[in-house]
Amino acid sequence: MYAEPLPSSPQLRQASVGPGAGRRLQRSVGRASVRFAVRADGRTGLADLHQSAPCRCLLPTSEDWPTAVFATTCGGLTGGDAVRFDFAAGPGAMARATTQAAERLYKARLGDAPAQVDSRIVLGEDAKAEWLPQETIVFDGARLQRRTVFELAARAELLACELRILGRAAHGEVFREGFLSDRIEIWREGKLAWLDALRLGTTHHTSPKARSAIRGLPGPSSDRGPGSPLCDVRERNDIARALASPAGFGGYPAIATVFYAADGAEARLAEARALLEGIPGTTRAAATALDGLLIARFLAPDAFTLRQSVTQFVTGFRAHLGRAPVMPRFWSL
Amino acid sequence: MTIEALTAAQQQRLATWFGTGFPIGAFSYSHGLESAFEAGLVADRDDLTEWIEGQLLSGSARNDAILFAEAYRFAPDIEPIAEIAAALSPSAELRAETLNQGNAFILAIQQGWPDLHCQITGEIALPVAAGSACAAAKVPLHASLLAYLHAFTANIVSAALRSMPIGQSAGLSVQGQVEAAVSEATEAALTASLDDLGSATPILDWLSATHETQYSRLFRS
Repeated sequence: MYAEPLPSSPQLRQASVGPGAGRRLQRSVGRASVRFAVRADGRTGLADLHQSAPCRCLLPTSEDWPTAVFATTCGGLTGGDAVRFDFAAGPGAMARATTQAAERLYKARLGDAPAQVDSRIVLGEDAKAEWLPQETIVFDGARLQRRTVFELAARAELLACELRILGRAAHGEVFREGFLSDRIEIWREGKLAWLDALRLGTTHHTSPKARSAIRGLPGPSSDRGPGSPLCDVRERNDIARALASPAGFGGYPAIATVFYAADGAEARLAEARALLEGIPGTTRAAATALDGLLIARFLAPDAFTLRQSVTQFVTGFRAHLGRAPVMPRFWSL
Repeated sequence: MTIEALTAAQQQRLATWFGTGFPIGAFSYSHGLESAFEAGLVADRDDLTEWIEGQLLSGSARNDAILFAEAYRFAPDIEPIAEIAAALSPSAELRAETLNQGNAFILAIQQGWPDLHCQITGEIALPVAAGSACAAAKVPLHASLLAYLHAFTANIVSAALRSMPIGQSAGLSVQGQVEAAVSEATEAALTASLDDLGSATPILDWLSATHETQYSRLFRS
């Protein structure tokens, strides 16, 4: 199970290989893998579980659905860390994954490769799964390369969310420099149905020559390479601009996407829009529908408001699906 | 950065394919601008410049430039790139915008330049269609991409003139101001790959979804 590569077209495959991989000793490398399947009695149960530090997978029994709770015991990730989470719901199974706490991305050391987080969520035929991790908090100076891949077999149904907070606003911190590449891919019966790619900052791994060509900086020399003050000034400007820009983040440091993939998902667009009418007024939100996919986006002034808005929407949407109007318990602990 | 010389035929093709008269229906899309104006986020000439530069340097036009360049390099084997380009659309309207124009672009090339044998089946996003056509015609990539991004900006300025209280002279000054960003985005895409795809424009993603329910609309996006 561990050796399976993430699926992709030939061009996207390179994305799962971390820039600079192998150049430095990695600080934390771990993996947690869990699989649920339908048992003989017709109910969904645990079929497989593997974990290696710092990744853990808890299996609470107090939830309304069979639930896996992923955690990292190192308290957060930083440059050079690499973790992977695998979650599978077999044919006809009903299962959910969440996280024990918010994922914290700490400031990376100069020259560190970005922290790598790879998640793979596999739904068998007719499976129903939920992927509801708590928010990811990206500290100023953090570097993160994350890829979340959903693979859906025929008639599978997925409800998922992703919340990102840039900088610790409660501490007055703004995300000024660093790198964030956060990809969500939904593959349906082997075809790429949706790709959401958020990208801020630069990797620092482009060759100095290429960077100076792109940025109009002086040619490469020992003090003008990646990570040099010249590059950093430009990067800070780019990030600050994207965060403030009317087309960029418009000053909202907390953003989220909730998506529902299922045959006929677009028929629930009116329900989704009605739910968005009720969320806190300081959150900007809207929904759209593509082929078999419903997407709701949220922009909020802070993490608390974002969590409140997403919780209200997801619990309401679960009710429309005939499920209990609750979030995983760990969300409220 | 200077650009290699074009032949007379290449120069004419770029002018035709990326001119406002090319029949791909570009005039009917505002690429989120109509909602941005409605929401009060883009109100004047400076906002418009900022909006267009944001799209070029960290938004959908940045992605389009990368997709264009990759389609150009991989042509005619562009199917995987076309799949990624279609999947990358953040909303129903932006997906329709790029696919409708891409399909129309290929159809127009087939009608006007049958010797290029642009054979594409299925839906194709605009940057992938345009990139593969320029490769088929052997127009150098740098000049082709510059023409593509220039057309993107000219279309937004044109949409602004029709939907915002902005006059012709203000529109022209915006067009002049964004030249540097067009050049920068073009050069950045020349050294980028599909791994570099990504945008930092959640406001645009949100706005394009709000446009679907906007009460009064001139544009299809």
